[in-house]
Amino acid sequence: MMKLLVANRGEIAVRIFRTCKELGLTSIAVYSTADEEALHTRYADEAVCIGPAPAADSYLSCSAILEACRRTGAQAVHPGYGFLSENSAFAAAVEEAGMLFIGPRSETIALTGDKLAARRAARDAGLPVLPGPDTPLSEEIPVEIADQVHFPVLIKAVAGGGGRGIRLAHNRDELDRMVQAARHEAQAAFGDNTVYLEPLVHNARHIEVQVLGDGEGKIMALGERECSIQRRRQKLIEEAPAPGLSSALRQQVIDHAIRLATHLGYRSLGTIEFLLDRGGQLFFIEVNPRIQVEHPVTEVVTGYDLVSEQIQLALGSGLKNKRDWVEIRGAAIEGRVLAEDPQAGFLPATGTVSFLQTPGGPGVRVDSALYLGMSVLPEYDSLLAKVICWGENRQAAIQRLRRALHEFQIGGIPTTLEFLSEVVDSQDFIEGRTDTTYLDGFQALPREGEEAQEQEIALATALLIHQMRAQDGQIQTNPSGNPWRAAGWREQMRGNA
Amino acid sequence: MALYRVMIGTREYRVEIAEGHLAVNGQQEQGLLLPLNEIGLYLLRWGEKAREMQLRLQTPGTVEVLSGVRRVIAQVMKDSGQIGLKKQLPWEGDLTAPMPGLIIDVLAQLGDRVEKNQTLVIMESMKMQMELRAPITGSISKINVSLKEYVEKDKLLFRIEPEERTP
Repeated sequence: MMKLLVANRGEIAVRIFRTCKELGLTSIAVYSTADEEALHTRYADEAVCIGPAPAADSYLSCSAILEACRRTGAQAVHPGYGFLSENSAFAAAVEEAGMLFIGPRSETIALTGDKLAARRAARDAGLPVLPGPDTPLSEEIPVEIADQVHFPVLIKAVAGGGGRGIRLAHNRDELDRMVQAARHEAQAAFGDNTVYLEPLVHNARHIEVQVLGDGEGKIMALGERECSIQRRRQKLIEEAPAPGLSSALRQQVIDHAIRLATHLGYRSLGTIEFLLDRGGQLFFIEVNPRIQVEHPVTEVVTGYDLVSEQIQLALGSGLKNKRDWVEIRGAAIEGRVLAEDPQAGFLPATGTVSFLQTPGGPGVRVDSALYLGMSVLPEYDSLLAKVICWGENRQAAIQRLRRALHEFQIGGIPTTLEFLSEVVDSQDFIEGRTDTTYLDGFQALPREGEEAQEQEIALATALLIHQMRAQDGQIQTNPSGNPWRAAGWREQMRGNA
Repeated sequence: MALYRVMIGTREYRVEIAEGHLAVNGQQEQGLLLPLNEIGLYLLRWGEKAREMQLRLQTPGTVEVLSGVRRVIAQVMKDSGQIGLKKQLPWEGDLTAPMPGLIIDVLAQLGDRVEKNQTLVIMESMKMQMELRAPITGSISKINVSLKEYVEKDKLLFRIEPEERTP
């Protein structure tokens, strides 16, 4: 049985291992010392410790991961998303070591990792790109820049991605300071402080296309996704298909994606990202040469297991589906549940998961690495779970997501569950009238019954404390956290039921 | 009868628990809290309603509540039951330290009438001096700080009672 090592952690590692099990592959997990008891570590058939908690010393360490491959005899490596997935040197090293890299060729990763080179390739392939120079901003900002550039302007890291290393300059006066800030963040995050300028598209929608290529010129498009609900450029809610796109516009964006992927001789899974402006104009933004967080919405409306497709392609099966297009059925929406406290400015939270109830029922899928007792660590990102709901149309998917979110309970840490449900309940979201600025000024409307619900909570908590006082004379939390057992049962025995 | 004050966010609820009835902010019904298992699942019956909640004691005075999609931390305090207790949120009139620091000047005394945003305290923290201001207009009912004192974040410094509004 072929051995596949996942150079990642958390929910995506669990996701990949699930497909490995179904395909009959032997799965190998790597873990940092902080992840010894993590679900992904326990789920795989084999597990290797690759270093201490900081990502730089473990999940980002090429050498540690390659050593783990050697020790376990891994024959293939899946990089997941983030970490080393867009590191072309890692991809090359995996292949040089005689293993399969489940992803694009390293040259493709290198090209798409350079945002300006990717722009040039897109333009060469005939895609619309945002106006502006294809060259990075020089160290000295040229005097004529005010004439060349339309403000407000985005300053982006050439080696960047994932919404990071981006600053906005509203006018010429702000430009120097914002460029410095962007350079600083880019250096820290990507080891390269080269930046370029890109015009800001006002009220744009983020539309992306999922492609799968066989590396020999054949490209399959698996539909588009909309990812406009973002907070600080981090996606929060994604859906497939993009609501309200005319079939002409859908055809256009998919054709663009196929054309670019073909031009790149693209191998494996990838996503081509676009912005759609108010006037219906599309602009290429970047290529993500890897599986993405939001891939489940595509899986759910197409019926494809994208990880399986990646693996089978790497094993030499070729593209099964000889058609460019894939049938899309119904609609899917994903909400990302984060360990962040919306009432504290979305400050990332740490703590232990003391209670867990995940939603179920028809059309509900939860991708996560959560388990009762799990420690939420500060070293890694705050994604706890993804809730993906399918419906036969968008409204049905929304209602299902609303229902699923209300079933989802996580105790012990603040999460964005309630915030997600507020966004999903908001009128503009329901009517599909949102863009990437939607969450900037988002204020939830007070909900019917919220006050009554709070009164009940106040009553219940007072009763709880009252019962415990009655039993103990004073309140104590015992080590197992169950101080109310005797008090509660006693209350019931007194015949108050 | 037992009286409790429950704080959820900035909202306060008065809960009365007696033989035969329960009341929240004056609204009275029959009710009880029934444990459904031994790990925190409860059913609240109140009037015609029944609501399931997951309750977990975090400290002797705070309870984590999971109810539907909401997660709420409720602070529960036993109320001494003073008659005529003013029905305002004490939190509105509390001035607390926004971060740890050293008190280098105290500018008001017990009983002083102060205006909203009037500087009451000067605190030094991380090499910066900051003026801490009255959150409401009223009179100082409690001073919990002294000159040259090092305070922790969230420590109560002043409590201001809002003045009675003349009708």
